[in-house]
Amino acid sequence: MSGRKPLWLDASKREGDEVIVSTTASLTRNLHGYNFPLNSNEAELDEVLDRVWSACATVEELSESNMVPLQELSWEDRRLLLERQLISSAMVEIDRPAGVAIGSGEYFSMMINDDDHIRMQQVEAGLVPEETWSFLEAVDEGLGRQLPYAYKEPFGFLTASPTNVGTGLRVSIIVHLPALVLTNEVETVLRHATQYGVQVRGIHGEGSSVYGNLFQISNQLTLGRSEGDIVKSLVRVATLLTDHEIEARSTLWLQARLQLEDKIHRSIGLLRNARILAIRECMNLLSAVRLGVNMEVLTGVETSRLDELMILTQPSHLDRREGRVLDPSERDILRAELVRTRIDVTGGKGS
Amino acid sequence: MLCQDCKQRVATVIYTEVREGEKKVLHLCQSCVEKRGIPTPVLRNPLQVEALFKDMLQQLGEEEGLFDGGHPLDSETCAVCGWTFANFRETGLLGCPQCYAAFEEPLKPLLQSVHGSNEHLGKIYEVDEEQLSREEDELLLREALEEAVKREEFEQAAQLRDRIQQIQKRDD
Repeated sequence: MSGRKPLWLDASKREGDEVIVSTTASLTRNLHGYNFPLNSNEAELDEVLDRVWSACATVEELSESNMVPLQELSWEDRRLLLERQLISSAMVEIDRPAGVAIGSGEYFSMMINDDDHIRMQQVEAGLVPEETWSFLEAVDEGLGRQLPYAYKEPFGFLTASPTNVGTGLRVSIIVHLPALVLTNEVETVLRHATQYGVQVRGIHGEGSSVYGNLFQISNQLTLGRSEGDIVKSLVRVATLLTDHEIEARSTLWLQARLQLEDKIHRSIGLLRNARILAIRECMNLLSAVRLGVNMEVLTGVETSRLDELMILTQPSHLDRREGRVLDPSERDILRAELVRTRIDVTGGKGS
Repeated sequence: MLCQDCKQRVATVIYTEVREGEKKVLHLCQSCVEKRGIPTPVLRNPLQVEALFKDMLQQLGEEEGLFDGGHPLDSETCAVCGWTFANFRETGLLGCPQCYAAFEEPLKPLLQSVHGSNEHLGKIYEVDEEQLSREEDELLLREALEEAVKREEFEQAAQLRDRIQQIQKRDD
């Protein structure tokens, strides 16, 4: 397990990516003839793990994947995978035969024996739901030829939780909405978005104290809608949110340009010079700088580098860098140092 | 799930009303919430479909008017994996793929409320029909076996057990 950055962050940015950070498609499948993992015994889980891995070996798209039994990973390794959103929080704690497969560059990953036998996901930078889904579809076809999927009409693909039954497909998009947060419009806009059948949550923090201004939108329903319709509805909502955010940015520019520039320049100043940075402060500053780069107030900083710092400054990533479990105050010092040396493309400009 | 007022849009708000000591839980969409004049800070309680679903499962017990929060179907068991309806209500999870057949009756209305549909649209997976019908036979036989054991008709139970073993042998 390395603490290096995932390759998908390097994807050359496409149009509209100043708001859309990434797209993830995830697909849930189960094997016919086996109980779901939570109601299963060790022998059965081992068998499922073996069958899935042998099937993976025959799928061309997965030829460069790394397959790791979860029981070989320490708690710290698992936390690291969680921060990179490669495994679920439940998988950090479980002590039963389970596994994770990670494709090269971390675009693709698969959890085996979490709540369901198989949950695979593909993540890419920008708004690319069609591409992420069609990659998964290819993997799914390959695995489906080798494995007997649990499928039954009229329900479709059967899953442990009836909330995923049907297509088993969940598409989620991470959006960065700093201007909507600054103009206090974010709640209204997101509330409006839920009318399109999507659910919304803040990526960091809880409830009203969301930080980093990052939100995740995903489809609420998996039954009675085709995969294509799910993808389309997410694109519609993401486009709607992008339009609102861009509008809020121009409003800010027109009505409070000086205050906005002040906020952005103060933020980069703090990131370049701070010696102690708590995670919450760090995320909020990175968010403001990202806005500054998008609005061309700042140059010499790349958004992909900021997105990367949002991952590398998470607790387990800092622990990995030092090779031991740090206490929170030590992490704040290391976080400030890391940001200082990496924020500028040319290297540390900080004094 | 669908909004209880308009029954058209997806419910995105759980509203708990306490009036004269009586608790009432409503699942509503944003438009109907506004129609009722209920103030809602959306992000304070970001709604996840899992949370909605669990809440609904809990209500299922309360609606039946049982004070212990139980449900008349709680002792129903999936003959294949032994999972009970009570297990399902507790965890929100099913025990095995066959549970969808075992609990089809109570599941259908639940799926209808959660997804606004109980029929899959989208990719179709070709299953081995012969294999499936063998398994359905097995499921029926297992149910009959359970019944026979309950009635203490052991001779019939032994016969049923033999037939199940035959099916399993063919599968291997």
